[in-house]
Amino acid sequence: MNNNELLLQRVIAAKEDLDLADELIRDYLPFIHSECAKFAGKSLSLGKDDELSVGMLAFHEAIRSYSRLKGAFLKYCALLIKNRLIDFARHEKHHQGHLSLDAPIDEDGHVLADVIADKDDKQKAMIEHEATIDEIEELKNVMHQYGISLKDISENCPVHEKTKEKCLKAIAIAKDHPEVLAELESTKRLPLNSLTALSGVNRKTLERHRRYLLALLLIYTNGFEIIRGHLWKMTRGIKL
Amino acid sequence: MKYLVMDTKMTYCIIMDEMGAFHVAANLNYHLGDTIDDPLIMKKEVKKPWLKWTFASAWVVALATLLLLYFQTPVPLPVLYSRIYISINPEVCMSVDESGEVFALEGIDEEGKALIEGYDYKGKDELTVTGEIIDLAIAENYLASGMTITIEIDNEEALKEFGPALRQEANKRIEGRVDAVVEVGNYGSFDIAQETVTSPSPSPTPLPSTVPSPSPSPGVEYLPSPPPVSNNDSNYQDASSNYDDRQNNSAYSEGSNYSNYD
Repeated sequence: MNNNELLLQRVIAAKEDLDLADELIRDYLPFIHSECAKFAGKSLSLGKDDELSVGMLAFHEAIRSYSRLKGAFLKYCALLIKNRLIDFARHEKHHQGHLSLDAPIDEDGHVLADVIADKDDKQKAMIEHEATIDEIEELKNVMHQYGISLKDISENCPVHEKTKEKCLKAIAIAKDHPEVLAELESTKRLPLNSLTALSGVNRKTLERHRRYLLALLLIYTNGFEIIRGHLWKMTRGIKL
Repeated sequence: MKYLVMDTKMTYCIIMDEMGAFHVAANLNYHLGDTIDDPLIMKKEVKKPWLKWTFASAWVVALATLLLLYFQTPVPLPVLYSRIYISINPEVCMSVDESGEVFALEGIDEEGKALIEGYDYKGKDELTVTGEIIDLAIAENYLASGMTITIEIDNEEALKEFGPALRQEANKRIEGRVDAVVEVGNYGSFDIAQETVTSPSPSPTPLPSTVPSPSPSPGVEYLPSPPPVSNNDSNYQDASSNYDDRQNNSAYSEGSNYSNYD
């Protein structure tokens, strides 16, 4: 099996699996580095230059959207990286002149946020940030018990507006009916029958986005106040 | 819209927006728990089932159009370049186009019709058909030693073009099998040919008023050809004497004038 065929097989496998895609991108980091450097016209370093992160995202997109009809994978990938970098450059240009809190203000590495935020706010923000991290880690653990991961949810997230609305309607119903959440916790399964009966949403629609619904319903069980607070727009925007 | 960073990897991160949607985005040095404003979100490929059907329909329509065009386009009819008459005892006539491809084959007499019955000449050239007809004639015992194979071509140009090769092919076919004579010439040069057709026996018999000639195939464009030899010709009155005459006339018999075309 030659290199091209091997790469093609890895691309096909990585289409459905973010971890495999991540692995593939790590292996092809020199290629991404070269393409980004070619575009930027300078040497780039990982962790400092956003262009590399943009290149990696473009590689992810290339994996997802690639088909044999699009020619050689690496050429297709190079094209996508270039296009993404052009978009990014335009975006950055658009935001030029805007002040960033993370912008360095002196040679000692102090940033704007250090100057304008008082000590109390900073400490408060740090505590909040740590609490958020704890909550996210806790959510990941709970989700693991239910056999789902964040990676799965990002794949299973509804895309169409109507489907989103239907899913949000089911979540709102569950939020207002504690017995549905209790059923979820006791059975460790999505209470599809109850959700269908209460929300009137087609069972198939709910089944198709089972993992996504499960994750959001878990957020609405006990704990996860910070994450729930982040979802304020969702709570407000749900149309019943 | 603000996004909460839910997971970070070197090549990507997973973020959640305020509407509860999860996205894969570029990891621009984000950390777990960060709230970000303007992420670079990975474009999701929205599957469009209607698109698949649209493509399928387009293919079907294109295919149907092509088929329609194919069947509506008139197929160019073969243009008759020459007729080649092969007289052994059975007599057959093949119509060939300029490339030498045989597009019509018919038996002139009953034996000729019987000889080519079931024989597929389509797509074959004049040499192949001639050779195979000779093979058939030998197999069916129409051709024996001492007999003559007469090949007549009704077009002067065609005679020059196909004549030598036809003679060579015929000789090749009979070589070592029967001791026959091959004669190639202009249509009408060999009176014996017509005579043989109408009267296989050596004794003179009354001849029909006209020489049987192949009827033109429908849809075939005919080039002007020399008029068939009339049986009113006095030569037909005495077949045996005509045969001798024929040996001396301008026709291309083996080892005679025909060598001009070799």
